[in-house]
Amino acid sequence: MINLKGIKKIYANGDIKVAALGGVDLHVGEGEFVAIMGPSGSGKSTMMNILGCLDTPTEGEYFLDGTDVAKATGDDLSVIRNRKIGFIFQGFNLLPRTMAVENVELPMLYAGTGGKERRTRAIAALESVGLGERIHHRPKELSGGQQQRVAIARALVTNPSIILADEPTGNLDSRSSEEVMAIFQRLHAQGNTIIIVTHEPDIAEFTERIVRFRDGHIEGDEIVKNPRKAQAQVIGEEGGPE
Amino acid sequence: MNFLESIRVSLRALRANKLRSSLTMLGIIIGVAAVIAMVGIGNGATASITSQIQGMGSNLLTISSAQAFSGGVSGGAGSSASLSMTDVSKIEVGTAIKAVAPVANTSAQVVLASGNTSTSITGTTEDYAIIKNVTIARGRNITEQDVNSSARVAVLGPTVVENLMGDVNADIIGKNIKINNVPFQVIGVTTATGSTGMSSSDDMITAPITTIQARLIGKKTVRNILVSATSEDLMQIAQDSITATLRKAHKIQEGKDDDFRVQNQADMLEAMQSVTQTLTMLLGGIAGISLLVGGIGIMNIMLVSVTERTREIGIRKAIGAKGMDILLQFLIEAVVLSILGGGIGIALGYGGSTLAGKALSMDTSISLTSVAMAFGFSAAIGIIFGVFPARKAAAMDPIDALRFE
Repeated sequence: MINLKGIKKIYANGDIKVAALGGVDLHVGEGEFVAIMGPSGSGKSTMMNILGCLDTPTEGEYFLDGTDVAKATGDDLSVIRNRKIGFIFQGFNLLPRTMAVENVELPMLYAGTGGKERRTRAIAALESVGLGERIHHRPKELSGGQQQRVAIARALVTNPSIILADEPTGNLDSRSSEEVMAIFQRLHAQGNTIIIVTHEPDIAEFTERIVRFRDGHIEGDEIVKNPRKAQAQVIGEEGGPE
Repeated sequence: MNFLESIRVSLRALRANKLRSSLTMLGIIIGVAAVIAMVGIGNGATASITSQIQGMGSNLLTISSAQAFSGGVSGGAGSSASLSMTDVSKIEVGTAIKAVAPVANTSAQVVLASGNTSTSITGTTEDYAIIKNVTIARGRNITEQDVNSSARVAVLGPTVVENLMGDVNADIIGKNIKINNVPFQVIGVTTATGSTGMSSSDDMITAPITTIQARLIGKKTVRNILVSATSEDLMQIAQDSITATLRKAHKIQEGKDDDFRVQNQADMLEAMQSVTQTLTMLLGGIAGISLLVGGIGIMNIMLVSVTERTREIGIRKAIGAKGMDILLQFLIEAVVLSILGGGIGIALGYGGSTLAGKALSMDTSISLTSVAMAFGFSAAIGIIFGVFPARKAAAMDPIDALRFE
């Protein structure tokens, strides 16, 4: 599924070269639920950008679904992101003044999916995260947890190979965080490959494998023995913005 | 993403920012409206001047006496009294010349019991009506006999009748009017031509030239001789033959200058049209500059919009928008703004020039070309001034764009 070999990312700032990633090997198999952890400056964000094909490594190979995407550029990367990757960000990154359903349709818009199919699939995705009643709401009219669920719906609506979440609970209170993690656990149970970048240990406990970064290298890679089960009893019962 | 979807996305973005969109359009609206209105008014002015000159008569040649010199100082055209009734009789109607009429004119106060007015009095002969394309609505025209007998008869323009009697259709035939205290009998009223300006035959009294010379002017001057050529093609021939005739009549030796001047209506028309066309271009040019400023306004706002929506661009790119998708989105926004502004501008410009035409009482004409040009121009402005911001948006790095606060 994901195969990284000797990934280096070097930022040149004038004459000074900083290696954000100093030769990383990582394999993530299909259907895994991984947390990438590490302090700030450890290279986990750079890792996330490379995994998400937002950035390319200076050196190394990156096989995603069997194809080397390390050397892809510009528009090719856009196509890869569109087809294979579902993004979830800390700040939700929904388009303001745009209805939830339209936000979810967005990746399909760029994939060239027809209008009717787009709407149907977007509604289905929103229903699957418990927002079937709020498809016409704009981000402003939704709580943080609900906004993140819209973002999750947007990420999974294209059936991507991997779902990448960058601090998905960073802006949420603990109850909403748990809801979001419950959705991830359910998606994982359905066979999706999910990678979460987080610095919160209790969030990482919901996943099944923790990869720890420090100074541009993988410091530890362990299996979570007993992943915590997220409680999701409140989904779909919430009121308006909190 | 296909083109139609791009348009939809752009329209949605414009709708989301209604105030800004309409303010941005305002520049283009004003620019296009100004171009349309200015060109419309300019064309109207050209048309009205053309019709005024043509209203002076068809295929008209105007002979006037040349300038007199006294002590080396020019008295200006017409200052010498070189034309006489003898000259008029020497110019013969023939293949090239349709009609000849002398003119001795003045302006005078006209009094009738029911009212008075000041108007221009033209002393002339029967053929004046032919040359001026004036027909008699009621009564009769002046005749050769009237001229020979210096009859105190007058043919009135409809405006004069209205000014004197308060009604164009008032029965004035046979009544006596006083022109500068000289009694004249009204023998006819001309048909309204609708022409305006100095040479309007509507606000004019025509009378036998001999009467006017004797009673009103006091000397036997002929100010102009009007000649109507049989066709436009024969105007030059007519002009040449008149020149030859008059030189012979005035006994001007070979090599000496004419003591008269023959003006061709076509030349006048051409000169006037070139003046108004230059004016139209000038006005249109100034308006065009405002259109350019409007275009820069669009670019300005689009640049602000691109910066402001950096995050949106980042999101779109992260989930799969290609550079071209983003470029198209912003380009279409700019083009939609300018085309919409252009459309509104055309409507406003049309309304404005119609209003201005009403106020200046002339017909304005909006040509299809100027509408098409304004429209094409505003679309082009949208593209030209939209490309730069759109390229800037398309070239954004998604990581930086997403990090943008």
